[in-house]
Amino acid sequence: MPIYRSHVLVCGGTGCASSGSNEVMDTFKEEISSLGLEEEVLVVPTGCHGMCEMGPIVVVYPEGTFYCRVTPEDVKEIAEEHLYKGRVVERLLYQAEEAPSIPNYKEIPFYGKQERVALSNCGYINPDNIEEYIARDGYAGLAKVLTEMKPEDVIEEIKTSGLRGRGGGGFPTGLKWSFCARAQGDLKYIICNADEGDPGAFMDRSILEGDPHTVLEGMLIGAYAMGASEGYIYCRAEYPLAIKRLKNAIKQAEEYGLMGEDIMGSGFSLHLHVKEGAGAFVCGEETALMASIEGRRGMPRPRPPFPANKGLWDKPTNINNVETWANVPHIIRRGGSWFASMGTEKSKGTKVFALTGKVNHTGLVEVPMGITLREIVFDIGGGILNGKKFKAVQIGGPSGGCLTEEHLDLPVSYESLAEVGAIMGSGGLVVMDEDNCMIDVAKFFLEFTQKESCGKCSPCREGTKQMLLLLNKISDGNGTMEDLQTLEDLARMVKDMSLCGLGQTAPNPILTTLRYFRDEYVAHIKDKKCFAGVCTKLVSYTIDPEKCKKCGLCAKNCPVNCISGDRQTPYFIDQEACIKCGNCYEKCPFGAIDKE
Amino acid sequence: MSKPKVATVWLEACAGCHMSFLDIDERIVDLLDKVELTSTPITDFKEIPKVDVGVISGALGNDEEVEIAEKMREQCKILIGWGDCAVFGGINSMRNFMKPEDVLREAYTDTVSTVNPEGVIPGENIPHLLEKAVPVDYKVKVDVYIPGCPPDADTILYVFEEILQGRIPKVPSDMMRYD
Amino acid sequence: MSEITLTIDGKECKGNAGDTILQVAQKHDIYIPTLCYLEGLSPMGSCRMCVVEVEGSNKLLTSCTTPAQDGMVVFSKTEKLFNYRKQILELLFAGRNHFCMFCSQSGDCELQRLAIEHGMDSVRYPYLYHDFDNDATSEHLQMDHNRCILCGRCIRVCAEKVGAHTLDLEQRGWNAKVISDLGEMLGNSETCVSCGACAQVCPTGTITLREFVYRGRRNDCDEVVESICPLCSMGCEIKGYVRTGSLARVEGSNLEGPDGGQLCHKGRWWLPESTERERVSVPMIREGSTFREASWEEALELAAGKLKAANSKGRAGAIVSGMSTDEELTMLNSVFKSSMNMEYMDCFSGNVLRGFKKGFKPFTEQGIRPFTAAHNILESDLVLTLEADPQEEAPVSASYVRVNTVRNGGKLANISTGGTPFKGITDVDLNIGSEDVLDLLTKLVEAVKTGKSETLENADAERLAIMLKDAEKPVIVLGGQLADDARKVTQAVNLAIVSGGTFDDGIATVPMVRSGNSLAALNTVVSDEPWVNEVDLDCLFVSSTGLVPETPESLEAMSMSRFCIIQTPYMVNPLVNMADVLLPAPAWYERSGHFCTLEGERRKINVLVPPKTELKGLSEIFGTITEKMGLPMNSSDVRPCENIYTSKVSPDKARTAVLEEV
Repeated sequence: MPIYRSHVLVCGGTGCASSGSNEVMDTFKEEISSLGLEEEVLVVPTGCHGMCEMGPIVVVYPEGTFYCRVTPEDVKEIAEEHLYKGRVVERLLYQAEEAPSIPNYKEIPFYGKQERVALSNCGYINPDNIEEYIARDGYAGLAKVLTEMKPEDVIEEIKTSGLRGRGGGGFPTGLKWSFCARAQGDLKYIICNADEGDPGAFMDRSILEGDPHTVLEGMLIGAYAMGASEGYIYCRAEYPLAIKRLKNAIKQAEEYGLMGEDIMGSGFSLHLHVKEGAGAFVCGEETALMASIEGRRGMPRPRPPFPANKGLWDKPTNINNVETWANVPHIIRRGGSWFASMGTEKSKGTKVFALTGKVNHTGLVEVPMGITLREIVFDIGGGILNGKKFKAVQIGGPSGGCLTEEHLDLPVSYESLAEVGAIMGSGGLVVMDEDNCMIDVAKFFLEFTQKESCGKCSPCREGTKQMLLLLNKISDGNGTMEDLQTLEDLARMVKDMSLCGLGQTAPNPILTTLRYFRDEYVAHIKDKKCFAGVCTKLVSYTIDPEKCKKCGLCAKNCPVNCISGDRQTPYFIDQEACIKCGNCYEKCPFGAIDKE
Repeated sequence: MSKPKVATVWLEACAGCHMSFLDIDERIVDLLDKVELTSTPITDFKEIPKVDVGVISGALGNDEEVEIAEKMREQCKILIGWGDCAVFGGINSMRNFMKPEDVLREAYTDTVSTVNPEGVIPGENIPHLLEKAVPVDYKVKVDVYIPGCPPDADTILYVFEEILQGRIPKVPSDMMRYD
Repeated sequence: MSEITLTIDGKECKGNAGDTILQVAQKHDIYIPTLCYLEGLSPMGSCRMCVVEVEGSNKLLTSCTTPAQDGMVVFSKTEKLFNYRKQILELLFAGRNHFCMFCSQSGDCELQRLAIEHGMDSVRYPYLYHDFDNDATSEHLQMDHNRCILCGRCIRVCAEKVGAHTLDLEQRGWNAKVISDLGEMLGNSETCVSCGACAQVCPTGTITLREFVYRGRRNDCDEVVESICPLCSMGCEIKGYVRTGSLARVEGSNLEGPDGGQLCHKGRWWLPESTERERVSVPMIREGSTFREASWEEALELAAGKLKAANSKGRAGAIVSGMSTDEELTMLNSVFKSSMNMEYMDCFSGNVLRGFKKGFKPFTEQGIRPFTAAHNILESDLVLTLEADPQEEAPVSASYVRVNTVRNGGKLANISTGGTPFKGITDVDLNIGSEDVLDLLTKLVEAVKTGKSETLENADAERLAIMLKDAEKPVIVLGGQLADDARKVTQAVNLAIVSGGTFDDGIATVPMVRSGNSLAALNTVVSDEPWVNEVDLDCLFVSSTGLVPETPESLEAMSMSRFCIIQTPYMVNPLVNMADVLLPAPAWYERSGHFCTLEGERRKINVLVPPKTELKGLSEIFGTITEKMGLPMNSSDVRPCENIYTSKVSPDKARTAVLEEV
């Protein structure tokens, strides 16, 4: 096996790939070749490093030098200066505001407070090479389980770890496994829910693309513990790279005798299949997912009976989220107590969050439970963009709720979030500042859930539509205080009466924004004002004649030609014709347009 | 003590609700001992006076009807909606599934028996058609709802008697109908 | 079944383990509102009306799907639930076109009933006024999507009971719509069998029967009478809604039974038409080419005279309907056989019944019932159709075949000319000429018995033999065409026996005998040898229900006989033109009696609409005729159903029969 003196890890995760990291990687290969360094330096495509906003990311080992925003043009310099001559290229290092440039991975604040367990291999290994996974103790957990542990011991270990379902439900995983293990049946199934449907969420995607084997190993361990012999990974079709990596990983694992019949000679067998979704958010719900695998229309069904007793094709089935499975090998290798040493009393271990919105550093982070929101938003996220004021953070995607300034010191855990009316969800965190309108936020999420509703049960099908109508009415300035009461009552009913999680959580954005930002709703109704300046019908643009320099730039850019004026007369917006697009406001170089 | 005053109007309606009210037959004699009927479609007052109980039958289909409904709300202490049209929109709602232009065209030019060679669609000196024909409570607050097409005479009488006792009634299920 | 006890709304209720909360509640007359639930269909839990609060659970649960547990404390009528239900009802009203005044279903509508129950006197949500489709492409059924509440009952009944699975949902959420096949309108569907089950189960006015929609709401009808459909031998249990002497509509009544209360296209549409047809009202006697009215006395005197004369020369005959009741057949049997000693009696479609009778003989002689109840098709793991078209011959049995194959995972095979009647779901299809069927059956019997399939020249036939051998509970459906040679019938039963096809009640075959009471006719009035159109008759007595057109053979027999006495309810040509004496008869809905059905049960027919004029039934007519003929009317001890159903020997002891030489 060739030994290289240096490894160049190029991030191939979602964010970086769309910023051109594949080209960067190809250029590196060319440059290294032209410098004659092929025998000494290896270019490795890896999964997501997490700091997506700084992509494309390149990390050079053995130093661990972290290069940000690398373009193909920069590659020549890195190759010549760093790889050939050993001199770090300063200008491409991470530049923090107060501190000088930080060369080393570990010292970057984004990473400092993280504890990467599920993401531990992402960014370090080539996901298409099983040997790299094995080199980092991959499949050692499986080996331990097959040689030293009985199925009940495995379940005990998971119970000790306190691992809870990371897909959003937060149900204790060990307990869930014990249900399936106890169920009677000669054929049992395990399923990995990789249908990550929350808009903007990419936690599962990064794990699947960056480290698919950890999920496979987790499923193998789980199948052994529960007595399952067939499994499915239900991955949404919008993740073709993840599907490709998974299929490749399964093939490699089978080739190495780590999947399929008689694994490692132990007599235990597991066959995994990858099933693609087809564009339905509701298929992330476990019973709808199973219907979809069975080839039926993806609609949920009431429970009981629960999948552990009657699941896929009526057989006992255990279904867990990608991140949950990804944690399992680590728990087995390092012990349940190690995992339980992190986190709070009832929420153990770590959680992957997709930190997005108005923060300086958006990206993927994995933090121990119990960390405060303040630490996530300000320390890891680097604070609010452009120095604006923090307003709220939406947690849990369209099923979740928003948290305000008063919650910033809340330790993140399932219980603490539930107490304040939010849910952990699958880990989406959207940070909002003073320029976000909370009604608009609620509308955004409700539009999504209303479109994705499967239509089976009346409360969700009809209720989400009517709630959206009411929100639109309010944001258009036509709402009444009665409408607010109707909206709240409707939201509560839909939450209590819907058949599945989609309908039960769709009202959460409304209920939480009503709870913490009621005054914004009232302002939209009584004052007919949107103070964040987002709801177009409630915003008006006027030109201050004192400030107007009569340059005419606003009129030129008005899509409906409603601005009149000339070199002598100050320009004037016809309010009747104005469509409130805000173009003139953006374009005015003198700040002469007032937005209110 | 003066008798409570009652006013009724019919808007986008067929008069069936008023006819059903008259089906209380001889009991109207007792009722008139207890209430004073003021402006109604039959009594032809020119103005709606201040009354204790107002009744609207029919939906809101044009802006004149909206004005009348608003006037009723202003003048009445308690406002009752008689019939499916006032309460739900009723049969007038059938035109809401089409655009108003198409409705007018169908009514004034397209039907086979209409003689309108110039294709004139009235609109100038008559009340403007609303975009949709809507229940009364879309524009004014209604206090008592009596669904039915038409509601039973007994139900209408029951509501009056409840109000006379000082209560704001809800029609009980065994007296309610939607047709 | 272990018993459990739970408390519902403060009342102690006992149930069985496996019952849902709703089932226990209904057993104890505790009302919980429902919309999407219907007995017999798999519960969906989607309308959310039946939601209850259960102590110890923070989630509201649908009582139609949740299994009841011992010690559960359930509340179904709290204020919170009432308000939530009302909100959902208001949402449904606002969502689509639910204006009741001109809807044919108003007064019968479950959505309307629930809304009134919950005191819904206004709708607080804005109406959406969206224009949905109104599908009038089907000749018989109208599907107005503006009234649909997406309860899914039509989808479920069509998939779970009729087996056609014509209806399902397309798109999702607010745009979800019930469509036929893969996005077709109902009239363009290739799988729809026009049985009307969807219209029967629809709780609102979405799916309606176009012919009967304004004839009378269920609640308007004067009477609802339970009876049996006479048109085929399935004998489906029906509910007749009678209004002012007309049959306004007909519905299946056995929701919890294997057929789920479905009817077929014949039952649902032909039966209500039958109260509107022109009747023969008084006896008529032919004079040359016309008829004159006569009194009963005169007509029966003439009839008796002719019959007596013809019978004394051995030239009298009778053809009766296979839809006659047990009681009528017994009486006719005794009059014709024992009193008149008449050789020539038969049934319409007598040849088919004769074929079955002869074919079954070697087994009835063993004291074993050679066929099983039709619904046992649902218990089978392999169904073989032999020269049969169940959708035509006994449509609900076709539903059983479809449901068993598509839903229960059973296999389906076919031997016939022209290919399988169940396109797309048949595993092995042997398309051969009718003349080759006997040979193939013989070879199959041998192959299954010995396990060797060399004699079968065909790979498909070999596969079939293996399937039959491996099947644990095969059922063979015997088509009417099979009975044109009794040996085919015998061989088919042999095949069932060697394949291990027996149930507790008989050998696993289902014979497609023609009419409502053919099984009883088989036993009584069907002659041993064919004679229609082969003998010279002086007098022929014909009794027809007028529900199905007469076959050309029977009409020819009538025209060839020198004198024809026809008793029939309807003025149907050419039948009535064949008569020399025309006697009015009670229509099928005006008499009571029993039928021996393919479902293995003797079922009772009740009078749906009492006769409006003076009508005499067969017993009264023959009472008079035998009196005039000077013959005794002996009572008969032939009990058609008992004879046809009894298995004196356990069916699993059946022995194969050797074929007679022809």
